[in-house]
Amino acid sequence: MTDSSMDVLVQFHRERIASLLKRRQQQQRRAQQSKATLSDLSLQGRTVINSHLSAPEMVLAIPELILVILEFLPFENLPQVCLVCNLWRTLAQPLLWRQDIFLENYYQIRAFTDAVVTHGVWVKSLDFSTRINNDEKADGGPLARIDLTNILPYTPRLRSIDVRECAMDEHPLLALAPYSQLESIDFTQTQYQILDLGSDGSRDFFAAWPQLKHLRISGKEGDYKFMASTALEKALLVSNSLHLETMELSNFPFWMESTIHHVVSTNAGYLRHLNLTNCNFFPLVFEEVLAGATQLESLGLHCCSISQDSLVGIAQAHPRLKSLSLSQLIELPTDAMAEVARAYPSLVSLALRDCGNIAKAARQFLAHCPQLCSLHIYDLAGPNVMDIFLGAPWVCRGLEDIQIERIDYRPDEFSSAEVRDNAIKAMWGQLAAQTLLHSLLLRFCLPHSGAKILHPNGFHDSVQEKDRIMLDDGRYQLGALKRLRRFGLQGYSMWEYADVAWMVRSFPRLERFQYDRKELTIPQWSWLRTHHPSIQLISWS
Amino acid sequence: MPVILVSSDNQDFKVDKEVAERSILIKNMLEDVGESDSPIPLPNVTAAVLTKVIEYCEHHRNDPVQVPEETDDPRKRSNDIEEWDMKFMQVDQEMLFEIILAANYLDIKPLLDVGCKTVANIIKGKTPEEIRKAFNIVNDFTPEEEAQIKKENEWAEDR
Repeated sequence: MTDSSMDVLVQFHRERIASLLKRRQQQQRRAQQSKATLSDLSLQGRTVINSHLSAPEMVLAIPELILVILEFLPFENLPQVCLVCNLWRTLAQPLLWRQDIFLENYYQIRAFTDAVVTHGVWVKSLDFSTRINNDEKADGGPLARIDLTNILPYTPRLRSIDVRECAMDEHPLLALAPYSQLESIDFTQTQYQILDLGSDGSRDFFAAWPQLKHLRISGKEGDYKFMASTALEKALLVSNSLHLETMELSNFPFWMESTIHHVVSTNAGYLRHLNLTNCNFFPLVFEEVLAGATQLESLGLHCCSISQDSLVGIAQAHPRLKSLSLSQLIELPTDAMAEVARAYPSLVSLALRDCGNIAKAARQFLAHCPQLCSLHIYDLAGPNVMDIFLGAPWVCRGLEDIQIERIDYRPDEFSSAEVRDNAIKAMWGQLAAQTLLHSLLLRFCLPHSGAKILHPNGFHDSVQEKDRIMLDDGRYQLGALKRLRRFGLQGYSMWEYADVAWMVRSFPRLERFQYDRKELTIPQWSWLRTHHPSIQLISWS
Repeated sequence: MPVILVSSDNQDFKVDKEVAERSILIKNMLEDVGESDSPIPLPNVTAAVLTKVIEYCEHHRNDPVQVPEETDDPRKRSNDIEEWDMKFMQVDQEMLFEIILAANYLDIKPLLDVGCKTVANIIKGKTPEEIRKAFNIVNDFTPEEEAQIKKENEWAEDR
C-alpha cells in the first residue's frame, strides 16, 4: 500500500515490535548473565493495561485494533461508522475514500465534487457509471455538466479511472494527460463522439502515462456506423510506448485487422489479460503475434472470427493460461475442444457462452483441467445436455463457483424414466462432490412455461397436484456443500416447506437465495423472510 | 515437549509446544530462550481467557502458518468465518473482547482476525447511536461537525 496512513501505521508497528524485541533481547542477555529462570523473563515488556476498564473499553482504546475491526466492514457501513466518534471517523474516513468509487447520478457526483477537495488525497479509483433518468437527460445528461478538471487536481493518488460518458471540454485523452500517475484507464460504453480524435489522431497520446498497465475500451453497442477508424484507432496504431498488462477492446468491428495485431505485438512482452469482443483480425496472424505473449494468464474471445485450428494453436502456445472465456464463436466440435482442454492443464476459470454444443465442450474441460475453480456456462443446449454430469467424476475437486444459465433439459429425450432419473441423480452427485462450492446457480428451462416439476415426470403443475419432489431425486446430496453462500435454482421444482427448511439447515452460511417467483409461494417466502432475515431473497421473474 | 503457561491468576496450563507456538510471542520467546521447562507467565491473560485461547490453538494446531497476503484489495470480508470459529466466538461481549486483547498480546493473528470479524458483524447495519450504546462510546462531535461529516460522505450513502 502506498497510502501514508498505512505507512505510518506500519512504521508504528515496526517500531513497537523492534523496541519489544530489543527489550526482550536485553532481558535475555541479563537473564543469561544471571542464569535466571524463564519466569524472570516474564513478559513485562508490555505492561498490564489499566484493569479498571472493561475489555471492550480497553480494545476500543487501541486505534490499531479498531482499524483491524473497521477493515472488515463492507463499504455501505463506513459512512455510519464515521459518525460514531472522532477517533472512529479518523480511522474510517480513509477506508471509505480508498474504495473503488462509483458515482452513478448527478447528485452523487455533485456531493463528491464538493468533498473531494478535502478528502481527494485518499482516492485510488473512480468510475463514472451512468444511470441517467429522464429529468437529468433533459438537462443534457448528468455528466455533461461535470468537469473532470474540478476533481482530478485533488486526487493525486488516483490510479484508476473509468471515464464512461463523461463529457469534457477536451478529448478524454488530453484531459487525462496531466495525470501521469494513472495505471488504469477505461472507456466503458463510451460514445463515438467522445472518443473521436478527428484529425488529431495520429500521435502517440499514450506516452503521457508511463505507468499505464490496464486499458479497456468498449464502444457503445449499436453505435457501429460511427465506429469508423477514427476513434482511438490511429492513436493506438502509432503508439509504441504502451506496455499493457491488461487490454480489453470491445465493439470495434470496423477497425483494420492490423490495429489488433499491432497492439498485441507491441505489448506482447507484458500482456497478462487479453479480452477481445467483436473485433476484426486475421486469425493466423493473430495466433502468431499472440504466441509472443508468453505471460498471458487470461484470454477472452467473443464474437470474433476465429477458426478451430487457430484456437487449438493458441491453446498450445499458452499452456499456463488460467482463465479462458469464449462466446459466440464458431461451432466448436468436440474433438477440437478436447485438444484445447488438454492444452490448458492449469485452467482455473472457464466461461463458455453460445459456442455450439457446450455440454460436450465443457465436459472436455471438466475431464482435463484439475485446477478449475470457476465454471460459467450460458445456454446448455442441444441433444443430451445432461452428458456434462454423466460418466467419470470431474477431475477438478475444487470448484467454488458454478453458474449454468439456461439448461435446456428435455425429459422426453431420455430412452426411459430410469435413465432420466439416473441422469438427475448423477447431476446432484457431481455437484455435491465439489465441497468447496460457495456459489451455485442452475437455471433450467422447460419447454412449457409455468412452475413445473422437472422430476419425476416432467410436467406436473405442482400447485394443483401438491406433488413433492421425490425424496431420492438426489438433491439432498447438496447438503455436503457447507460453504455455500449463494444458491439459485430455477425451473427444477416448487419450493415446499420441507425444501426451504432443508436448504437453510444444510447451508449455514447462505447469504443469497435466487428463485423463480412462480416456484416459491408466498408462505414459504415469508417463512424465509421472517426466520432467516439475513438471507437475501432475489427473484428471477 | 509440553510447555507450561501460567495465567495472571496463577493457574498452570500444560500444552504441547506446537499448540503454544500458535502464539508468535511465545514462539519467539521459546526460540530466544531455547530448551527450558520453566513455566511461562502470562500476566495479561486470566485463566478463563487462556482456556479459550488454548482451545482455539488446539483446534488450529495443524493450520498452515498464515502468510500476510500482499493483496491490494482493501475490501476484506467479515462473513467468511469458519463454522467452528463462529461457534467458538459465541461468547458474551466481555469475553469476546478479552479474547481479542489476549490474541493481540500473544500475537495470534488468525484469532485476532476472527475476533475482529465477529465485532465487525455486530457493528454491521447498526446506526451510529446503536454502535455507541453497544460499546459505551462517547459522542464527541458537535452538531456542526456531525452535519459536516454527513455532507462529506453524502456521495456514499443510499447505494
